[in-house]
Amino acid sequence: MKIQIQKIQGRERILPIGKFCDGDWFKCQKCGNTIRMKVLGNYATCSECGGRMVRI
Amino acid sequence: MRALPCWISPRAQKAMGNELARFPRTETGGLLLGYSDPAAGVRVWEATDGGYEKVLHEESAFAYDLDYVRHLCDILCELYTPPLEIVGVWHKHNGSSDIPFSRADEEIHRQLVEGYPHPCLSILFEGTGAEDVYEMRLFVLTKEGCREIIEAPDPGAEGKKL
Repeated sequence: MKIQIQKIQGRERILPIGKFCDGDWFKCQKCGNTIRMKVLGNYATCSECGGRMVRI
Repeated sequence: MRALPCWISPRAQKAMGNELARFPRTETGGLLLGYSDPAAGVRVWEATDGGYEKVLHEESAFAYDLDYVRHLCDILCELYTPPLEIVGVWHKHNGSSDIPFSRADEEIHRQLVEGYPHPCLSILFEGTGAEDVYEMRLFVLTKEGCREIIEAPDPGAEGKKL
């Protein structure tokens, strides 16, 4: 049985590249404690020593 | 702000539910395929998984196998007339948070917003603590960030069981 197929026109699809993460890494400038969390800004308070954590 | 209609096919919902069931303790996700138009809204027909070889499944991180997902998109999109487009992403977090997305998630969103002229969605499943019960949150992606689509609350619903 003959069938007529349709040509597929190749499409360029943009696939996002990267990782999904449940949080970003922050490091304490005082004690070096590094944890992953979600905050809106680039700084947070370290739960270990109370120092300043910076997004890395 | 005008509401954007959104619809997710039962097949896409089932695909995401199956993938959530396969990875109860780690993150997972994939792409959303469908049609999108600022007036008609977003209609999701297919949801992919992330792959099985070069895929990252960790407790707090997920990355799909790019080659696998590209191949899957090429196959699934051409099953429809007209062919489907990439209309968003979906993934899972094991816990919940007032801040839904990390900067890493937002980078994924940025690529979608910059890559496509049509509205795109991000579907986020958050663990509720109860086994196999997740909270499904829908976000419309914009150049300014994302806007959560809030549906009318159902007084009897605690979470969507998939």
